[in-house]
Amino acid sequence: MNEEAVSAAIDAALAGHTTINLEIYYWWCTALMIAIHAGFLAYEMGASRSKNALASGVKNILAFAFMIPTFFAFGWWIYLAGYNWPFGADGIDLMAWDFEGGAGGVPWSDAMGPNLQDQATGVFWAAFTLFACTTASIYSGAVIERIKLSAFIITAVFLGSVVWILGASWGWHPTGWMVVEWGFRDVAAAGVVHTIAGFFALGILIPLGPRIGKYNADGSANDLRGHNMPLTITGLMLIILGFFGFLGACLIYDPVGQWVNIYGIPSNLSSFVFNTLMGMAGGIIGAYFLTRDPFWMMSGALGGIFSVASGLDLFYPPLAFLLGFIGGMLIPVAARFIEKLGIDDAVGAVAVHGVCGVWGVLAVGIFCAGYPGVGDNPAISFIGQAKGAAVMAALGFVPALILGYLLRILGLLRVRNEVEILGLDPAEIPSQGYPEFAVWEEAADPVQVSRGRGRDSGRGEPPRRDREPQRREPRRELPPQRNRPADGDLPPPRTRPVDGDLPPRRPRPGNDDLPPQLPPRRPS
Amino acid sequence: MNSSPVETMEGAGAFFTFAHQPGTVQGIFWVMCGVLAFVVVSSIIHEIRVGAKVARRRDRR
Repeated sequence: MNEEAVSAAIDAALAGHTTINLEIYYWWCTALMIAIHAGFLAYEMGASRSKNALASGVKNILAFAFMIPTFFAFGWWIYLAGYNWPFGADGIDLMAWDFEGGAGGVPWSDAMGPNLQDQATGVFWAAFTLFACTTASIYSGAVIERIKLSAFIITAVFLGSVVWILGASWGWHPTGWMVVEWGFRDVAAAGVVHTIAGFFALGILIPLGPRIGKYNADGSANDLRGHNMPLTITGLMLIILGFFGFLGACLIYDPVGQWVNIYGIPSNLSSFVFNTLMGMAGGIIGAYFLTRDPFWMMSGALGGIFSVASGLDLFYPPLAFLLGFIGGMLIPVAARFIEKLGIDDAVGAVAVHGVCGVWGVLAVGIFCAGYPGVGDNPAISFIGQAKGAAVMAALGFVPALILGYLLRILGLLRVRNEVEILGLDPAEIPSQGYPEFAVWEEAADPVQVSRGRGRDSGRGEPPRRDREPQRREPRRELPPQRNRPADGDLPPPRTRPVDGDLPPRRPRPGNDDLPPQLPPRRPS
Repeated sequence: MNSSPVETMEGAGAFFTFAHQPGTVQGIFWVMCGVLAFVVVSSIIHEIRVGAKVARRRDRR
């Protein structure tokens, strides 16, 4: 065999390995991303009160399940075809989709199914599908305990398979119009995933309204604590694990040449992992510094990662730590501000994802301005990043607000007050999360929730009264309180169920029913 | 055509071949979309019924 033949054989073998390694890489990134959903599942169930724990879980599981077929149906096509929409050659053109480029994403195309000739589309589609599922899960936590399951499915599909992926096509695509026009840079999706999902949640929360008992008559807010903080914190740690798969899938794998990021700019995993860990550590410490609360500390870990995500391959690691530190401190401040506006974000999703996502996009504009783009694309600039952050926030917020009000007008957005007070689990879920412990309806009484379990967390000016929940029960209809302590801040005494409510006692066996006793041991 | 391993299409059984015809593939796709829509609508109806039931029970009390 001559030298050329040997060289050709080596090249062919290498190409085969490259393709297979690419598949393997994205396969495991996708698998790791499922940990995000395990984490969100635990997180949201723990953050719910026990009467709503399973309903929150069902919501999360179904979001995952609906996202996959709908992203197959139209999400992937939107990404491939929508990078220039709605801008045509002569201005706004609603038909400015790239139908030719999107042909590979049509659900019945050759690429969208088993095909030995195509070893890339499936794994890329899978990674993007899990990104879409992540956006839906981000939004999911904000609306727990009062949104209708069907409304959640509709809004989650709209976010994950339409809105988010359109934003990705604009700003997370080598030829997206924001990249080409503004030099927008968001390498690990702080803007296109987290900002969009966080502001989408905000857009739904406004028409959805707060949970019953969240706000008192004087406008002060109560802290409706979840029933299982350890589960919540463990879930947050699982989300962080899954994000290593997420961030890894933001790179284009090439085991032979140079790895590149989504924009085609050389990059590598080493730079990603430096800044991911440093940003995460900064976020935890920043939130700890401000709150000392483990819930916010773990949220700060996520916020720290998102704070550095846009420039994950560019920052000096100690700078990433500082950016994460600022992000971790921003979260509780932003969450408190949102609460004072009368918006009940049950898990702080708007603060963690929306605010830290914006901060991450802007941080690249501040600290990486001037870094060149690919080809004729503009370099990174603060103005370009600021405009990009504004577009992402608006893209999440405005469609969500419209859809939310539409569903509300149709009466499809929120469960009835009676169901919310009783709890979604006893009303809608055929199984019980904690069958050994009865969920008493009295425990869900808004007055008891407000005065007994709640803690006035309002500091400074009370939230605006014009955002008070519209669906709240009028106070005159509330049952009279018995045995109320003189001091309203004290929790009311536990109501003991009357004997009639107790389960029947087990009959004690009589002597005749006892099993026969063993004979006494004989002394040896 | 949404191919399955394309090399194996030759000599495949009649049902397999039918199931992978372009029209059939599109039909299956729309059936999937129909199932998704049906489940969402049934969920809406279920929630309305559950809400009404809980409200009635509360009114009786």
